[in-house]
Amino acid sequence: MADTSKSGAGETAARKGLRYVDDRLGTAGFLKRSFNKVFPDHWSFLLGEIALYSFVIVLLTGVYLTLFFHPSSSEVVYNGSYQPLRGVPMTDAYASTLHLSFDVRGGLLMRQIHHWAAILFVCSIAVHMFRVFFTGAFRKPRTLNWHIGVTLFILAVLEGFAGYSLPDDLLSGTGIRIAYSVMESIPVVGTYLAYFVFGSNFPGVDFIPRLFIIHVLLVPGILLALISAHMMIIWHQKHTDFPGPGKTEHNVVGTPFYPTFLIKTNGFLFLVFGVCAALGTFAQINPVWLYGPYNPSQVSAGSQPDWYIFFLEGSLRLMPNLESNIWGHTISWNILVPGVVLPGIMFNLLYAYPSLEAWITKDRGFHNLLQRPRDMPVRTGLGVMSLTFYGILYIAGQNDVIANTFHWSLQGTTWVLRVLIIIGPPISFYIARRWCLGLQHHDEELLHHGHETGIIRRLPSGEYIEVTKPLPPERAEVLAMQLGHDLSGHAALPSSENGHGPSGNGHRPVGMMARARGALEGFFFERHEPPRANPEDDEPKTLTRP
Amino acid sequence: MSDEDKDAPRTAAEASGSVFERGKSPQKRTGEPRTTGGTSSAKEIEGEVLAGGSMGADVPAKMRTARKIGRRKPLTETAAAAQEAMFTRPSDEDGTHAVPAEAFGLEHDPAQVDPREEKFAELQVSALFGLAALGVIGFVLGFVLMDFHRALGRDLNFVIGGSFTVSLLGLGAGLVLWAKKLLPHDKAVQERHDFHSPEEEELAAEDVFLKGATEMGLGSRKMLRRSLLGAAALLPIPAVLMLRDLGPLPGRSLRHTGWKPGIRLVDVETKLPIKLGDIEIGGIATVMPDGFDTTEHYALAPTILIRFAPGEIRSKKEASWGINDHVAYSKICSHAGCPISLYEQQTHHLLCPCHQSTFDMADDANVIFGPAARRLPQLAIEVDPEGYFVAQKGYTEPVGPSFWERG
Repeated sequence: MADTSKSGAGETAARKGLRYVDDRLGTAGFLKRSFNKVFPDHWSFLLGEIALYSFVIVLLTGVYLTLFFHPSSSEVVYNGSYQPLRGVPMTDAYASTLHLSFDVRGGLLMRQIHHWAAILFVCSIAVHMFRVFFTGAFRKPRTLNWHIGVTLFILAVLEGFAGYSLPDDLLSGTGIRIAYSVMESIPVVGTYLAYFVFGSNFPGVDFIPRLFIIHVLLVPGILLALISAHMMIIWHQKHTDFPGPGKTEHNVVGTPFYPTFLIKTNGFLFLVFGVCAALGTFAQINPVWLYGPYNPSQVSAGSQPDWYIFFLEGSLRLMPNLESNIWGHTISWNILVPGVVLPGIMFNLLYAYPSLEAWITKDRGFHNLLQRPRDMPVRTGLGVMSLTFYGILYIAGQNDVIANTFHWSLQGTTWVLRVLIIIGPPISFYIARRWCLGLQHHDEELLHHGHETGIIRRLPSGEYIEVTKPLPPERAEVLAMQLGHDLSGHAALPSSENGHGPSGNGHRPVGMMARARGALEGFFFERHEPPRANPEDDEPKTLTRP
Repeated sequence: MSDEDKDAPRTAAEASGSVFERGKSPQKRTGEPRTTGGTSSAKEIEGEVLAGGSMGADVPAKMRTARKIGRRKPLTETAAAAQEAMFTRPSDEDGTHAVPAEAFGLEHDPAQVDPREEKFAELQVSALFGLAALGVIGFVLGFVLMDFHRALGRDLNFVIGGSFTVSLLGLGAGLVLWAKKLLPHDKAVQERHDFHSPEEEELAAEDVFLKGATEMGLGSRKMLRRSLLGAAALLPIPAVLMLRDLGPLPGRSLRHTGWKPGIRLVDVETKLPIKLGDIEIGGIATVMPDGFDTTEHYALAPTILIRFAPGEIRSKKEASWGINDHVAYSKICSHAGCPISLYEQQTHHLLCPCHQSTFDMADDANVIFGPAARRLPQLAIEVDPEGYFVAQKGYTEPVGPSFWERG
């Protein structure tokens, strides 16, 4: 690492370059601020970076794929290197995918890296979203970024579905067939919607070119714009951080953007790319040549979509077979509810949650420090409940594979899941919330009595007591803050920002909505009191080690 | 907290004299930054921004001694220079400043205190970068020299993919290791600001907006306002109309399947007509109307032809629409439109692999399990004089998934 001040020529060149840019754009102030920008360190902050970098990989590999893929439904007879399908009539889309896989050097590698990176993209967005949810990072002032993030998640799922539907193999064609049926199920406009999207009855010849342009231009363009906005807002608002020594609501502690963060994050980009490349090389994904071209009279058993569609597949599988006929019109609840209504509710709840929580808790404060899941037991409970619901749908999306693997009855498996989808979420809410309260309880003990040392001492009076070792002061302070004890005003709590919060605010609610809100607030902040109401009762019985 | 702790500093910040709040007590530019302690004037110049200040920490005497002595050996020459550079960087309006790693209980990497470790770390990082370069060479050699078509390109993909992976992982690991081992572990701290603007600024912006609205006079000019809103509301209509030709109107096309009276049943694969007796007892065949192509009715026409043993069919209607224990049903699931392909000979159950709707084919395709709400429509068949299966008529109800106009 040569210091620039020592290598004169390098320094002059660098200064000249920066001067050149500044003379034309006036960037000196911006650059200084940006180079100095501080990024906090925590492993969970890398989740969003994985999403960003997998998007970069998907863009790079995707551009390459477009050079070879023909988005066309016109029928051709395959004549390439893959013997088993030679002479088989198929769409140009499928034939060009085979050509790309077997007659372009590294084409299959690029396709597999693209697919793996796309899976990683959706997955990392989802996990990143859980992190943001469970740590309360979505709270004011970051609500807008939460909304952008939810939109990104939805678009990523759509983009992934569009992507794996393009090759027009047997698996993807089946997926599109189901999507067509879901469109058809929408009351009043459904049939027209499906005809306009597909340009005819299923499958038609217009859909693949349309889907292609949606997949390579429309959705990626929106994704790119929204990801840029997401990043710019993060940059402007500065990253959240967990409470820790020296960390307050009013500062950021971490590494400077230039050089340390820049080096680390670029290293991470290459590591993410490397992992995708390894998966693309050694782990086969979506071997479309084994599925064969799409044919509406065929489907293979165990047809499975990519992971992020599992929950929709699962909800379609679990739904009872309800259908109504009202005044000569058919409403197929068995598709409408699991395929349209349910995802609509799920995503709208995601959008609405920050406002709902702020309404219930009357939290109008600004938050830069994160909470631990245990600090907000009800929020954590709701999150775990939603995850359980999602998880059961996810499992139901492969009930045939599970039943087959474990030699269970398919019907039995489905019925168990149908029951679980009703009782699982409330049970998991209860467990998660109690768990959080238990952890709070533990933290209170730790704060008041310190660590158990395992040493039993006999007092002159003959009484036996256990010796405890108090927490180091900086740890105790952070813990107290996390538990909602406002000790020094040094670090702001939700409650200390605005006088609301765990302790309640004292005035009587008026009106039904307000009373409901008040009741919900009480539920939200119900917490374990310290084990004993009067800590002094306990004091003489404990010896502390210096 | 117990009383014993009262005298002890509660935070690292207190212990070190608030090294974290450098933004409020900026340093002068000149002088040795690490020896200037001056926190006394902090309150007087609170909030003031010294753009020319450096990132040097306000290290109080206690901390300075600790750093000078160090818990370990002193930093190596390059590590000390790196730290020096970090601590003398110009600060900014956020009061960004460096805080020694010790304030967080962090230790310097061995590579920053031991020259031998430092050499080794540099070697490690360089070796990883070298590996990345080797990966590229491997990629090029594999790409140029290997026979692409051997094993359908699998071998080539392993070689170039593997070397590409090595390249990327080497570069990534090298960069991360470089940052972890050779860059200062000291932290930087900067101030956050409120996101909302000062009250007067907010008021001013609102006033500008409202004054502009007054200039426009939209509040008083009712007619203008309404006509503008009306025009704006109408403008999307052409955009929506332009979408009209995306597709034809459905009309009655979802009710047509390509099956007509007298049309022969042909095997979907061989496209040959099927004769009475071609199918064994318990056997099935997927059939299409003779002369089908992949454009029209392709997705709704698939039909399954089943031969039962005599007496197995329990539905009278089913038997009367079939012939000689042969019956034909739509293969398109009445749930989501998948072709139902799993037939269990013993139970006569037909199971859809997509969502597991199960139909009892011996009982007029009654739904016995799963999300499907309707029986599969039956195609009435007979045998023509040459002995081939033909449709008596088309399907009498729409096949496939439900839709609003289905009735």
